[in-house]
Amino acid sequence: MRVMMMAALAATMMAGPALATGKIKCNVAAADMKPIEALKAELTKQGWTVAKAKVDGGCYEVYGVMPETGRVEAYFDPATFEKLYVEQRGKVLFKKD
Amino acid sequence: MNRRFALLALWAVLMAPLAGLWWQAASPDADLDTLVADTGNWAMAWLAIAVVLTPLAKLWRQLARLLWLRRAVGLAAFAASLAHLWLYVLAMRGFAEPGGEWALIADEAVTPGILTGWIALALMLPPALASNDAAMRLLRRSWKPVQRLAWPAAAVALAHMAVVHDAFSLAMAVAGIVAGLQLVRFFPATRKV
Repeated sequence: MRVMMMAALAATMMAGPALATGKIKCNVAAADMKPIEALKAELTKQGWTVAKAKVDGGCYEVYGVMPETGRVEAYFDPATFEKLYVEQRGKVLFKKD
Repeated sequence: MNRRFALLALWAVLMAPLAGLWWQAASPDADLDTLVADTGNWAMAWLAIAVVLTPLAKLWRQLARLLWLRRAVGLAAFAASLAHLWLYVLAMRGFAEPGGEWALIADEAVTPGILTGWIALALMLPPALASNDAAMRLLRRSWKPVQRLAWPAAAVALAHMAVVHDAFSLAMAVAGIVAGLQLVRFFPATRKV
């Protein structure tokens, strides 16, 4: 019985990491990346409140308040500032095809 | 040893990591979002331990005599959840004009990631309020069902952790351990615990 329980436990634990979702990745050469401050300025002009911006997976990741939406986590192409992905507390609001 | 003192001492020990995080949050350059996640992880850890102590006691008999200490673990989970909630409010202040954090909080309260957090906290409230001798005497046979709300609370808290932000794998690992240990409950016991 205990062996069965341990096997069930091990199976469940191994299934965990396999189900993990990957975040957005960008492949942009450092020379082609526009300054992150420029992205923050552009978003602010569009009505965003940017709380934090950093590089994640080669993309610019922004935490802020998007107009008409609320607090979001968003990813942008660092060369074009194209919006790639937006999620609100785990709920995906936008994902570029 | 005086039981009340032992419970308080254990609760204080379990709250020590939270006190450390609270201290960090007071710093002006604190990363509040990280501290929100950290306090949530501690709350989940204590809640998960609170709900696996009974099946663990079935596997390890010596633990059965110490099950009364579970009250301190559950109350630490609840206190950690309140710290998690308050740091969430402080973190949301970083996104809003003064006073605007409440509107932001209300806006996202219906997203599954946040709604599950609110539900888990609401489910933890009755068992937390009833975690004292007076409530045990008052509620009598209803006391146990109230404490069993910790179960759905743990399940919903795990859903919250899995969905809200980048902790899916960790949540699944904790869920696996908690669910796995619960299987022990269905095995015949030589002695009731």
